[in-house]
Amino acid sequence: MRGVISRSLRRAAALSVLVLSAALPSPAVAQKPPAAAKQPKLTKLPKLVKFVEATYPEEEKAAGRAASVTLEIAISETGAVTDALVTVPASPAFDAAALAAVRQFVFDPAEIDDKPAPVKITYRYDFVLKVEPTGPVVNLAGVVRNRRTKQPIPGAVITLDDKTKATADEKGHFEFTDVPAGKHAVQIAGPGVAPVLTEETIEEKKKLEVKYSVEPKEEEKGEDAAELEVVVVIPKLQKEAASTQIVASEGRRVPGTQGDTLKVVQNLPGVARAAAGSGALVVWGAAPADTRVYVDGVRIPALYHGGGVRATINSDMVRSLDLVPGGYGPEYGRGIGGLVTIDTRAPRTDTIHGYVAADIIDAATMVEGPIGDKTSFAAAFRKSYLDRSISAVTKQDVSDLFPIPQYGDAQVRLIRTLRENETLELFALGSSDRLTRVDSSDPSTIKTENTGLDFGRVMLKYRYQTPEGSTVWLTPSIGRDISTYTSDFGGPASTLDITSNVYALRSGWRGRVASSMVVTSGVDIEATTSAMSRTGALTSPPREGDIHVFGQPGPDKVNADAWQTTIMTLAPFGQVDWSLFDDRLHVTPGLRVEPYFVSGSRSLPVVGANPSIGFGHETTAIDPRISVRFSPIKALTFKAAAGIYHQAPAPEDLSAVFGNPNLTLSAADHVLGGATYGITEGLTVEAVGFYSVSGLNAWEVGQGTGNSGLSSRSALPTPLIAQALVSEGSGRSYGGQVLLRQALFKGFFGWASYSLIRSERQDHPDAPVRLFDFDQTHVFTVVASYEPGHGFEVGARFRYASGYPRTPVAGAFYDSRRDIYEPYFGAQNSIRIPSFVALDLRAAKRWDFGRIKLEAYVDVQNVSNQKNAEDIVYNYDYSKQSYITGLPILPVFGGRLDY
Amino acid sequence: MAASTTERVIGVLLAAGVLAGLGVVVGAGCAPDLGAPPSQVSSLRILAISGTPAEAKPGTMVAYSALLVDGTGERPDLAAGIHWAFCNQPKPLSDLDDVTAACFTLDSESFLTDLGQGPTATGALPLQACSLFGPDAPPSMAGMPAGRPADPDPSGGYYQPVRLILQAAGQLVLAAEESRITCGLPGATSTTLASFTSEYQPNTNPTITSVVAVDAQTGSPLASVAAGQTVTLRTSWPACAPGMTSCGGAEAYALYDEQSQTVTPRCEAMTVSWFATTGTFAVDRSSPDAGAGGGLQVLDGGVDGGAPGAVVAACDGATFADGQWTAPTTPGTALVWAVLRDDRGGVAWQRYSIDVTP
Repeated sequence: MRGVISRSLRRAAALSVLVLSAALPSPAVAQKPPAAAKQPKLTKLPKLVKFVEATYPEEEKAAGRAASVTLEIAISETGAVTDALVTVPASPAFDAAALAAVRQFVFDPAEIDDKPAPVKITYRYDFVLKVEPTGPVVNLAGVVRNRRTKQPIPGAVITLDDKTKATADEKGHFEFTDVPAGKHAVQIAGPGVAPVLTEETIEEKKKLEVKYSVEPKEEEKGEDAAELEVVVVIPKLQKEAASTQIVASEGRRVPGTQGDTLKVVQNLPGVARAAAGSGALVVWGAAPADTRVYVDGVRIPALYHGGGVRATINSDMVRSLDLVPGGYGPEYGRGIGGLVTIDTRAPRTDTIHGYVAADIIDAATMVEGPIGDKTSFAAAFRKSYLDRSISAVTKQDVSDLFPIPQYGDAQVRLIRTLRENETLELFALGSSDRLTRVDSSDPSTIKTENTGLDFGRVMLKYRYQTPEGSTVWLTPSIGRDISTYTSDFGGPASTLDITSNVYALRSGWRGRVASSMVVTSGVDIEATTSAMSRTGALTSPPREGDIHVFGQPGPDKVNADAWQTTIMTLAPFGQVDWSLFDDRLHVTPGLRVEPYFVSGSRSLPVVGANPSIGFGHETTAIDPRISVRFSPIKALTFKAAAGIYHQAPAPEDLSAVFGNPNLTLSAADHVLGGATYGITEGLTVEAVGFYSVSGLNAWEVGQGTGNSGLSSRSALPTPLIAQALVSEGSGRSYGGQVLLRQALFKGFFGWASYSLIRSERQDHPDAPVRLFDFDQTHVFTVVASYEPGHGFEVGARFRYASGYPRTPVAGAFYDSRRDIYEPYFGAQNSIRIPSFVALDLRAAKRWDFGRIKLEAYVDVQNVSNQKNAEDIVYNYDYSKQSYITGLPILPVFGGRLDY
Repeated sequence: MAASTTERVIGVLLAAGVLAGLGVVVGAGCAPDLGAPPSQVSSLRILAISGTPAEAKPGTMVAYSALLVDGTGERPDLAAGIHWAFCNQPKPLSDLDDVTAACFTLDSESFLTDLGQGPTATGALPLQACSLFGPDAPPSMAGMPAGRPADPDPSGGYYQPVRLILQAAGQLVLAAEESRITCGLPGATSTTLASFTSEYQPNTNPTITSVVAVDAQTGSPLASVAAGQTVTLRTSWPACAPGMTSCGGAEAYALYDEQSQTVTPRCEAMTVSWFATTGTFAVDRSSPDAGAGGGLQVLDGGVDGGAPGAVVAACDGATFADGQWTAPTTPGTALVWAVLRDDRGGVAWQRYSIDVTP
């Protein structure tokens, strides 16, 4: 903070008029005898009508000296100064300055005997040092700009302490004058700006220059409203997330995404490369099912369609996506892995907009716009046809070995503005997936696998931002998930059908309760009722940790069960963001207390005609969380987070036949720390290290360790009834990642990331520690994109990833009853599939016809036609092995029309 | 700024690519070639293991034999070295195999019941078979509740593992037979148990009546096959009349569903596995043609010679299965084995020699 200090001289002229002898002429007259002569009489004093301020000698000012200079000034009958001389000096500098000034004085002349007459006066000129404002002093000034585009926001209104306002000019500049020293609340708002509340401290005699990078309001027209922010938050913070931000225009340009911005998550550090044909999200070594996905605070079962080809939400509906690999705050729970939160954007309201896009994979369309003055809508739809287009030109065995997904999704939104900063929204979304794989290489034993997932959500969202900057939200929702699975790999068919109804309510409040404290509190409620039926072998489908090889027929010992479960949790949570040391240090402790109520229809398998006996139990999870962020200088930020997390058992694991109705919660402890450094305005480097333990090794509040194990298969040679699964597993993931990123600069953006991660599991306390089935030690990704101009764009993506662990086959025996060979194995997960390497390229051209914009692109995956191994396959008696290779060079042509 | 000619051309090409590429994908095969199929016999292998009777109660003596072959034919000389044993070690739940690999050891283990060495073996099914591998509750450990019974196969059967180890001709051959055991119906009501007992027939091994090369058009047997010629090989088995307590074909049996507490009649599904020392089979296994008709017939016992009022099931489906075999280009004698299996663990096999003429 800098102040403006002006120095001025206070005129402390001590004017004394000493009428000395007036130089009056003597007439030449005969001398008369001295008689009593008449004395001239000063009838009017001279009056200073023009004062000239003396220049304060610099050397005297610097020395902090003051002085008085006494002068004799001769004033003519016209009032001009005819002479001046120093009678009582101070210093040569002061004397000279005073003389220079007084010689320019102008007086109303004195009068003697009522007639203007020259006089001499004695004048004392005082030189005084004093800090004194000569007028309003600007001591708080700054610039308001768009956080994403870095452009100034003219018209933004900055309010100081709810009283004084300033408006940003065309350059985004604003200023306040004479702001008293101390802390002041500052609100930035106005048209096109989402209200932000912050605090500044003004110091005495200092001027504070600030820069505010603010979020544009959702209703903002134009391209910014369509920007999508993909944020990797480690950990997430209120004012300025420690994150990697990738805007929609960048995300869409990343090769391999086929224009789906949400797919860029797969290229971020800490995210393992998914196997071909899989859309699984493996974050920091956590199982895919342990990472939860939320849309506007409502959980959905999958982020990507089958095969990971597309996201289940249209990217153009989305405003931001946060991927938090670990250490997230108390607002979310029910997951011991990472967290993905998607926030949708409000529809544009200037006019009707939309787009139509198509490529070889699918076609999509979206339309949005206003309905009257206070309502807006958006609707999106997508349908795939890859299964039909690929089978037309590829060899049959491609679709035999790699499931070709069939999917569709739709979203519809209606938003009503009730008052300024208060909205009510109805949002419905749905998704459908079918994945079929057929291996017909041996017509006598055709192997098939079919999976399906349909889900839908309807939510009502209420949001209100108070004039003070607090936010209130309330989101009730209902949903339905229908999952189907059938497989026949040469043995009896296996089926698993799950139908779940989900009822949820999320509400909260966030506001500033003190100058340095922002509080977030609320409640997160979810109840899921599920009806399941399952037939087939106990080990079909295989679980993580089951030793098996690709295409191995499962056992032919079968069973069946049908059961229902209800899992309900009610979690109040609270968090305080405490700002210290002029906002350089943020400490954010939080707490989530979550009782889990788990009940089911069968605690034991059906025995004869005996009636089913249900089960129910309650466990309360106490999840403290904390994050710390420290910025000693603007460009450098240190961050750390820790927390305890819990997760309920999956409903499909609560079968008395195939699982265990009495499975406990699973727990995990997360600890992470890192730093971000801004090398330049757009070039940043970030490093993060993490350590996570789960299951029996996780420490819990009030319980120590060993209470909430991961679900694993019973190790007993003859498992107990209703205990095919047990809560005896534990896990550990640790590692680090580095990200070097260049934000959009002169048409170029890109990043390079490297992750080094190890993920382990131990299925029972006595079992050896093994690698997690999804462990991927090294993941290196480089992404670059450049727009040379005229609507052209080129991009490249290079990926290197370690292969997944596999268990070596040590030999095989012939099972005469089934006429198949069955393998026996070496050490679990002791070998790896060869590493994955691929280079993808992208080129696009855009045409801008004003209201219509057209884009055509080609996205070529695996340009070098690398034969990347995806899995190990064996011949019939496991005496020979080879690799299934992934997709060869694959160009995806696409086009998009925006209006 | 107006686009240059080059930009226009590139733009048009890209746009054309969008339209053209909507249905164009460069694909390639991704499946590796893993060598010969199971039907080609070139090394020492066990093709089948038979137990007689095919199904028995614990404590019953069962005789086992194995079909051991290599590229020259059957090898009874080497079969004398087979080590037989009952394996009484249930497999872990996380093991996707049917028999635990721990069984394949020649070391003396408490869970192995040695049956001796030779081309055949005889032994009494272990008395605890139904609790270790059947529907009876397994022995519980001290202080622990009852264990989880084993699950049946789709035919409702439970099986006692028999392991075979052969070290011969520089090769290690490992095999397992699963011998079907007759156990009770824990948890069944008395009515269900009575129904099951009256309808269930223990399994017997099937019988192969003939294996011949036939003309694909006429079905007439062929005395020889020309080199490179594709012929139909037919394995036949007898038909089963209603009420037969055992037959060499597709037997009818009762299936108990514990979930629904019901007993339903079923027909055995028959499968032929093909093996040959030379030539190639189109498929490694064949089943009766589904279009041949027939199948399960549920009859009233009083009508077809059974007890009046009793439910009698009969299976009158096809009694043969065909496989397409292509003779080698080199004349000579080809040895073919057909191994016939029913879906209750019964097995039979027969060798067939084919003269391949120039």
